Amino acid sequence: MSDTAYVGADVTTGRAVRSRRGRRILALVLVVLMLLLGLVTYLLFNLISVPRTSNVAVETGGITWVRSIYGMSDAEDDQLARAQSAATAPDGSIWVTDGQHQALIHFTADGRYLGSLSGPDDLPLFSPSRIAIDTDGTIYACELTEGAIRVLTTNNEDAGSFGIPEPTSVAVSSDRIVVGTVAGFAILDKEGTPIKVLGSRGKADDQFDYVHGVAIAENGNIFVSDSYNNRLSAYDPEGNRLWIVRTGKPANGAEMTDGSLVTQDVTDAALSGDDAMQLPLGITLDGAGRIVVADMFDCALAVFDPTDGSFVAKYGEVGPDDGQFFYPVSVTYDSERDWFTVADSLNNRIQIVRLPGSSAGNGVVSAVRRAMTGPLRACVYPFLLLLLAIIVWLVVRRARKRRELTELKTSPQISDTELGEQ
Amino acid sequence: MSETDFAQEPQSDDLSSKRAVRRPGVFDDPVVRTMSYVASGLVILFLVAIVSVMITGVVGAGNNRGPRTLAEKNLLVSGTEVANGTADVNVWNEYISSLIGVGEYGRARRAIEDGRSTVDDSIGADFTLAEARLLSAQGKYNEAIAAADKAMTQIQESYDGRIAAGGESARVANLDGMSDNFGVAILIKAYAYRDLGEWDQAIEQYDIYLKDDSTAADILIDRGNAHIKVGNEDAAEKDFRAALKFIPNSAEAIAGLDAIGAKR
Repeated sequence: MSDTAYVGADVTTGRAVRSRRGRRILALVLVVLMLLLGLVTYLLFNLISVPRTSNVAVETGGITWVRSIYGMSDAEDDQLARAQSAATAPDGSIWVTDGQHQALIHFTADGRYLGSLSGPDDLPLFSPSRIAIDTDGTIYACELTEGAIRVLTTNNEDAGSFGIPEPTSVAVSSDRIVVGTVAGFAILDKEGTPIKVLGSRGKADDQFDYVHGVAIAENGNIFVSDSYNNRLSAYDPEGNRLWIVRTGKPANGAEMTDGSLVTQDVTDAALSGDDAMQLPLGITLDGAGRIVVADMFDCALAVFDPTDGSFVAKYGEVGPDDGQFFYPVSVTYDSERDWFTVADSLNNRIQIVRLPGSSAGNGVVSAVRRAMTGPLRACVYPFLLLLLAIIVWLVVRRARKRRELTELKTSPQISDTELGEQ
Repeated sequence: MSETDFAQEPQSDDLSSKRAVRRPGVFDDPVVRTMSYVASGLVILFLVAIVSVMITGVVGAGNNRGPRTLAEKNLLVSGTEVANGTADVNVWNEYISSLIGVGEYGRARRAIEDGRSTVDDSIGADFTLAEARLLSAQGKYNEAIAAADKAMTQIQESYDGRIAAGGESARVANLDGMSDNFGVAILIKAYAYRDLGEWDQAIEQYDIYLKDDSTAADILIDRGNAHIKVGNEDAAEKDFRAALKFIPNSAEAIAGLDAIGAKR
């Protein structure tokens, strides 16, 4: 046996031992890495996903509950009380007002507290109620008792105000501001100059009794929730009425006549049944363009057709559990996440919920949008990287095989027959 | 390349000779090499995941968070009061129920013990009842039934003792009646039997409960469903119809009638 053969045997034995050790070490490293990834995944789910609320299935009347926001921290003083309004900013964050904090309270879409705005020191907010967020993040807040719409930047700077008597709701689009009031609503340009003011307080078709909800569609049409008249109406961008429908029994049916309270029954519409509204308040438009109205006393969200105001469906159950409502007063829609933020007044919380058929686009788009609001969104980049790695691996593998094949073909020692056999 | 292939490489030139005498590393083993690629990939994946959670806002600014669910909120509110040393047994009950609701069974058990040493529950046997609830939530139904029995005995003895004591104590006991927790204990037993699939015993407990509160529509529905399980559809229909008298559009009662094919 030659020297080289001895060296070969030693090398084989030593290498085999080192290889076994290497395999063990790497197997251990792999296990640790797997555990680490598992831990990261668990933490991610824990950070974003909401814990199971109850061992018992909660009846939600067709609503899919996503999460609730109860407060800014675990401190008792930081809990929301009598939630007034919740509006989604362009970045998906949520601005909230309630009956206790006299501030605009800011949360991430995941419900983490970001901060509060109370207005500048020399011009603080008094009691902001309904709010709307512009595409640049500017916040419009109703100050009912002050008779004004306050405009604030996200840096807590005053950006002006519009004096409007008894504002009860506000909506904003790229070129319009619409303000609902006790006696009607006003269409303003972005400088606050009135374009058209509609209505007076009363029960006639061109009158209003507490406009607690206004919404602006993409085409500029305006939808109005006339709360105590229990009516919905639609207007074009210039303020010409498109349609008006009664949605239930008016809450202002009683009148003082000769010193007595007389209730007049209204007979011009079907006022009872499951589709009747009890008290329509906040209003918004979903991704499918449908009108969604918060029915305060029925503790539900009702959906209407934007073309004629016809009833589509109603969702919701009264109750304290997550996914149920107790006097919801306002609702806004986040098209990116395909969810609604509802100010659930007497449950002292904001609820984020989904309704069937609310999404724009097809089912796949909707499913992706919804999935991206959960922990899955943190997996997007690792997934893309993994996909890229697999593609690179496949390309390299194919290139190597092709190269090997070419080398074999050009090799003079191998005949075509042998190549064929290979 | 296998280990043998490597060892028997031809040494036809200088380079090959050098290779033959080189001490080969562990990375010459294809399995080790593949594993190290996978490990490197996982490390990269891990780092990208960390960057990803930052970019997608999963973590970052605004890590303060208040309660996200009703159970968390109740736990927070009652927990604060308990931490402040409240002697209100109802607050303790809510705190323990909240802990059970969020699945913190260990803390719930400790709270039961703390509550026993802090608050007098002799009238309502609240902590024994809480223990029954805890055991039930843990799926220990037989132990839950035993705890509920114990609570009922405690409540009964407390009531009898106060009556027997006479005077103001008896007057108050007569006025208040027996603690409502007695009924709660019956229901805990009924639900435990239901979850055990022991329908006859469950019905027996519902019967006891409904004797004192015949208008409890939800219990009538529960009993109706139990009657279906034992094949007594007539009794089930009677219960569903009785429930509909109190809640005219009760979806559960209507579903029960549908289940047995009875007219609505």
